[in-house]
Amino acid sequence: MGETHSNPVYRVGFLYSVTGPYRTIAQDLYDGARMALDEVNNDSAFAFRLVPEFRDPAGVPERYTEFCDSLIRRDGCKHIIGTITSLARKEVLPTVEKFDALLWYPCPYEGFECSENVIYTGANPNQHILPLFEHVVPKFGRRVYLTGSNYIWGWETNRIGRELIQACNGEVLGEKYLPIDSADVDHIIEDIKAKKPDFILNNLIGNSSYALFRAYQKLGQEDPEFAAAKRPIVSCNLTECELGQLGEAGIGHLSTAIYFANQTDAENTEWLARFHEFAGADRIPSAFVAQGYATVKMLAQSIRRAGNDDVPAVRHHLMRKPVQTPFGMVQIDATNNHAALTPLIGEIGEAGWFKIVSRADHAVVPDPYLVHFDADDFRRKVGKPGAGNLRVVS
Amino acid sequence: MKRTNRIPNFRGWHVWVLHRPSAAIDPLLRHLERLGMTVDRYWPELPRGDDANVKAADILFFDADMGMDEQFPWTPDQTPMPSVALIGSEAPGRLEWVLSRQSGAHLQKPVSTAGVFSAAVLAVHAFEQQQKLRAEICELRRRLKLRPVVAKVLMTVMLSHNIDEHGALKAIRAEAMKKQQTIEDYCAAIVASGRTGSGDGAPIVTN
Repeated sequence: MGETHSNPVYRVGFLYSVTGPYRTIAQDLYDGARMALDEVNNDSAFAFRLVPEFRDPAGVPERYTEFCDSLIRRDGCKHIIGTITSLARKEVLPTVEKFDALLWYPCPYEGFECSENVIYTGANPNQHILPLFEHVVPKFGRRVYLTGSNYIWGWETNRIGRELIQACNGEVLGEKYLPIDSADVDHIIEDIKAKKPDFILNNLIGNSSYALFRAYQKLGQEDPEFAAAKRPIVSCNLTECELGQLGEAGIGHLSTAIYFANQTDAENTEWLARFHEFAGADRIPSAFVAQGYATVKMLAQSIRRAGNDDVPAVRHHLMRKPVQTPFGMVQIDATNNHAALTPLIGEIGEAGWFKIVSRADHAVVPDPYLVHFDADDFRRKVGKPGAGNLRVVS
Repeated sequence: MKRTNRIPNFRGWHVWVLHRPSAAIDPLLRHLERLGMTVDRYWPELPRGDDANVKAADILFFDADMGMDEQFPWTPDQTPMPSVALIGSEAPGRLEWVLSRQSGAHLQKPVSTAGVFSAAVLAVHAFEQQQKLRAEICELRRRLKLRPVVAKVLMTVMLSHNIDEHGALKAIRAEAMKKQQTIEDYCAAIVASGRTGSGDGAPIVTN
């Protein structure tokens, strides 16, 4: 045990809605965090103790603000880890900035933000939808159908999808949205059946997403033209934690993430063994478990380097060198507070695992405002249009 | 389903920030660089446009609290680039001045990173709209000035072809369309060639 009576104690606030509409994702982040806290607090290399203050806003936006305020002012937390939706992150930002605390945001999101009081450890569009399209377009074609839940993630990720498709002279065949939690996908499936897109970009979340997969599976059984291997559904944030809900309907479809549990390198094998010891051998950790874990590790390593948990010192030491995570060494970019990450593309296999079908050669520098996106470069990367599946629009 | 992308990518843009050195705007300067821009800060005066040592700007952020007209090398109605006001004081007199400088967007001081991208996008859009409208008004004014010329040609055609004003206007419009000109420009060319006076030239319109 690394703890002695003289070791300082640092309180860390957590805002994870382990109840409510996105509890599956929150539970994974929470479990990853608990595992990392256990390791840090039992490792003599860390001469301090992290005391977590977990709060469950249950997905209610106003509760995020309330909890964030009390975590900082009453409980003395300088660091808050959490929020999942952009809506919740935007709720707590004014409070975090007002008290000059640091929010550690661990999820993939739609980019176009850069607060100096936030560390963004998840992927942004040049690390999720861009590599996803670079993989999918040459393989399946450039005629896309866009779907999404009716809020900022769906709207903005589809907007970027549209921009990418226009950049390579492809075609957007349709764009449909569902209210959050709605399973009313029949009209989308009818439209897809009529228009036969080369692939479907899925920015639906939760129940809507599961309903789309199930209905599309049924369509594929009636007409092999809609088999996953021919016209896949592709997602930017679908991970292992939701594959149970999809069952067989998910098999063969694609998603991008910065971590998939079946990575075979020695580091992951060793981490996976520790995770199974912590959470049980039948649990498959998603990118959210890995992110929840990595984010706590980044904070702990930075406190260790800094010698205290003061925000400016932690930020300074975080930027100085990379931190070991289940998805490799991760460096936070000092110019924009986002993480350099290595995007992966996974194909859903059986029994709740992804098969990794593509991996970036190196960590991709974060570009939250897509400042360095170059349409010509993208067009070159996705190659010349195939004769059979292209209809040029200009 | 093609839509025009109205959101600019600011990579390679150059910004002038007219503000005294202040911690309140440091996050702005850093964030502009994150958006892909290069930044020059000036105080108390902006450089003149003809100064060869100065990199010309694509967009301006200016202080609304201490600002005055004398700091600008142009008059408000000749603002040559999109501009964003940096507002601390909301005193009506200051806001009055901001209105007079025709800025397309504003940011509240102290500036954090939030809002900078939106302000730049809105200012660029407002400026482009303003330029478009200004050009359209100029063109309409120019054509309005040519009204007597159109009247003169109209009269000539009515007399020479013995038709009423509707018929004459229709014929002139058809000729102008053939030449891909506005009616005003077509008539101005006719008058300039002297074909409205003597009646001995080629017919102005063909039947």
